[in-house]
Amino acid sequence: MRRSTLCFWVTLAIGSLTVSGFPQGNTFRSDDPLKADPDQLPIPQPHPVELSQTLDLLENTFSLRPDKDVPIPESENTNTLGAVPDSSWFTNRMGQRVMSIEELVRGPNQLEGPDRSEPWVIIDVKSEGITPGFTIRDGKDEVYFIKFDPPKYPQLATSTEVIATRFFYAFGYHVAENYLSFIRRQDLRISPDARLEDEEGKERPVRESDIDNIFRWAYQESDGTTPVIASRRIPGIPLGHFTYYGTRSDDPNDIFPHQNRRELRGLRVFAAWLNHDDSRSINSLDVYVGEPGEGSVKHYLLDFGSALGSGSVKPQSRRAGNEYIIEGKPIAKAGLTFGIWDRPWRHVKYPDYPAIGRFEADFFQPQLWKPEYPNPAFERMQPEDAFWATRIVLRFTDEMIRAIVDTGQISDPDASNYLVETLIKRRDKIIRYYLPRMNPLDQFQLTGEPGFTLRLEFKNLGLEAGLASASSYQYQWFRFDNGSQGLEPLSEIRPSTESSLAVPQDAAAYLMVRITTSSREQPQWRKRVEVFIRNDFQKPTVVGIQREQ
Amino acid sequence: MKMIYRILFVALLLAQLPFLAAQETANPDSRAEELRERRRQKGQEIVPPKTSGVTKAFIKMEKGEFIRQIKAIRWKDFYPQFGQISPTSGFSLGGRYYKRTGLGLTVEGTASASFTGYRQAAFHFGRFNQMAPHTFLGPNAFGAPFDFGDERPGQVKSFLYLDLRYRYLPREPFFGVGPDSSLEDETTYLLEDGHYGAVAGYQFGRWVGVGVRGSYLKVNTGPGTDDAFPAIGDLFDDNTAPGLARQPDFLRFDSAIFFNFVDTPGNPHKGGEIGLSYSRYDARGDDEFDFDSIALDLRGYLPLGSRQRVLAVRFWASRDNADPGGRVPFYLMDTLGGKETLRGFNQYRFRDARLIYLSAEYRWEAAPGIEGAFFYDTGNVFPESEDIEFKHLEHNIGAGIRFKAMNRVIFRLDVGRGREGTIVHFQFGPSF
Repeated sequence: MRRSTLCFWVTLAIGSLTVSGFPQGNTFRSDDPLKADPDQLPIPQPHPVELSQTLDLLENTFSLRPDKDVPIPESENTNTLGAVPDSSWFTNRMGQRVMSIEELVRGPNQLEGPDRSEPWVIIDVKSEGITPGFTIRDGKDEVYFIKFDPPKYPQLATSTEVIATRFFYAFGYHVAENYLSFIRRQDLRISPDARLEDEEGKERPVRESDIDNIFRWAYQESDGTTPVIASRRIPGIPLGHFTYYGTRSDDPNDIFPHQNRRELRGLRVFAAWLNHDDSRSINSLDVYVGEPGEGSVKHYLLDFGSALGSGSVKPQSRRAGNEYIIEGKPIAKAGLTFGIWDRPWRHVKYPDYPAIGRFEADFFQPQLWKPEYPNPAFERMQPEDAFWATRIVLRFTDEMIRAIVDTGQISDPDASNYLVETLIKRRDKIIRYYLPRMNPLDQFQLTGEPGFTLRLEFKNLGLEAGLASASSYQYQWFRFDNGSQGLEPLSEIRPSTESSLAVPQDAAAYLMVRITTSSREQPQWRKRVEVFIRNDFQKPTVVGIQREQ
Repeated sequence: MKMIYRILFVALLLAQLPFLAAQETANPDSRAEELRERRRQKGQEIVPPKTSGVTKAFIKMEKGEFIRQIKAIRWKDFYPQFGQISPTSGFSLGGRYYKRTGLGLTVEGTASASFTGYRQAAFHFGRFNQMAPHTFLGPNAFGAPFDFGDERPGQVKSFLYLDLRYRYLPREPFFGVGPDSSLEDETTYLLEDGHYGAVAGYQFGRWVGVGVRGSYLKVNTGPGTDDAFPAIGDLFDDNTAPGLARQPDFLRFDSAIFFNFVDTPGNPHKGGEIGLSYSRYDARGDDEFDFDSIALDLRGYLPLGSRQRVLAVRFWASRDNADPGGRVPFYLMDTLGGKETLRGFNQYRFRDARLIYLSAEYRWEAAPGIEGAFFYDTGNVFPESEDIEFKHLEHNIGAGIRFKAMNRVIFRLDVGRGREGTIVHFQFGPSF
């Protein structure tokens, strides 16, 4: 038994040992592969927690890095197919099926936008800080957070937020509803209860001049309207941010350490594609949904203003995606050479599109991409986690990317085209980097009649992505003992040029086929894929997939 | 007997209930049930999240609560004030009154004192920015007619305010006038002055600002109080320290224009700044001390192939021109030496009617918030323009490290070495 396969069984065995009161030994359970993780059991409302951004940076930079001497465990929340079941963290969308253009364009939005039949009532104002904005209540009593574009960079922040939100929704994450709206100053009224804290720290009623100042700061269209992002308040009771390490101690449903969740590890691939360098705890939100005592915690990703080429109120910094805020090696190299050693990313050329900011694909290397500071889940990403995410990225066609970018309503067609082309190039780079690192066989399904013409069909994602001109397969069938994990060969190793294998007629409860792929261009495709079939005569099922890392 | 059997049966049944219940909830071959069971187990060991004191402190800091708490230490519109009165005053404590009126006008009054006996009081009324300006012409001299800051929402572009100030600086260093003054001649003197006037100005976008000031200036000097050094009168007299014997009042007029074309004000990597000022001092009832003063301050920032490496250069020259037969009082002369200029020499080490100064810094960013620097400063003071000789310029070299946040140098540690020794400066704000 090869090392990776051994690890698989050991992991499963340890997993079952930790759960008392259950019989040991069965690799596959009756309900495998699990489609949904039952992690929304009713619980009392957890305590809201506050996060220190500074400590998060320091901890993630210095103390939560993986120990080089300790092997990184495989992701813990996957099902036996290696997929991520639906949960309070994730809903399989593009990972499960190809979404329609209409679905992609609509994204998470349930409404057509904030109600405009009556003036919006400002109930809270954030006039200080980097990004001015306020909170409104519309005519239908819905609450939205309103954010603006900086004056020098029209459409930069608003289009980025809209576009990135739709991508992350399609990936499967829970995100807020974000609407692009165009408003006028006179469409707003101030609630008598609205207060703000002035620069002296004193709370006072919001004045008309405060709103005027925000509008003065913000970009305005030539027709006098101001584009804004209206972010609908997420339903539920806010509980603070989730961390990318450990679990929440007062949430019984939260049993998998976050750094070992596949969707959080794989988020690195998505974040790299969209240059979401701000993918850190501060841009997440836990909410308690449901009736008190009967609800559970749902986990959201928030605030995509710092993604693509946008740095929220200005273009992304050149460092974004290339270097952590605190990174020892470049600091030492630049410091000790008195600046003679220079960071290569400082010399990247970006086109001058104010609505796009700094976003490019030529210098980008997916494996080297970095968020603002180390993310414990990203740092533990294993090839199979990356493969899981890459197969989702692969499903985004050029047409889909174009449709999502169009939702940002970027008025400069050249800028819009550039963004589409850059996303396509970055997508292709991700595919070209990650797919060759695993045997890219996927989408296994059984066709035909059980016991007669049953066949196991699959797709070679690498071939479909054009990473090789041709490939062939070697496979061997086994009987598999679900209790003892014993394997008994049913056939010799056989070659095949087709991505469809006849399933042997056998009475064993479980069958396993071990497949390797031969390709002149992609030597790593020789890594094994083991596919397990529950040999139920009534309804045979692909029940497990194990990939050699 | 039947009753006993019935009771036994019911008891047995009751004893089985937990197991029956467990059988109902725990399907032994269900992955989902296994996960539910793990969650039930965790539910029995629930621990409320703990927020450590360190985390709470950081959160408070990030929310600006410390600053707010400091600001909240107030009585009505009175606040405490911390800082420095002059580069030689050391730490000072005081109070501030600040109130905005409904017409966009602000009233501000401050009073502070240092542990070394320095005192200061000021009163402003009118329209002005609360944020400290990020650029000064010349060293951070008292009374510069500049008040230009960044453009921010709500910040005023035009300013017009009444400016009344009083200072009591009892141990200001004085080494003599002229390029040949000696370190061994260090003395201290008392400088007590009051400025009573008004300031007006306008900032045209980011690029150009103009400002004017008109004020009545009262000055008094006397022996310094620092026992470590002789008092000024012990080594100098009115000939060697013009104005030591008597200090007339002045009518003072200042004007300045400032061009700013750096890429990032406060953290420049490219571009330049030009400041030009003209001042007129009219001594009341005494023509001996009437003089004009002009100053030019040029700053250039050149990236050396990358924003990581910047060559920063500053040229500063000033000329105090006494009316025919007159003299320039020593206490109104510009000075060289200290935290901002000629960093290898003591604060206020050189002063005279002519000043020329050049500084070059090679700055490199090791990280976005950490900058190293090597610098070379040169310059000196002279009594007349024809006395300026480059061979008489003083020099120092030095190195520094600067810590930046929010596109500003928050503090810096500069070590300058000149012919008179090595001096360490720990200073808030940029060198230039």
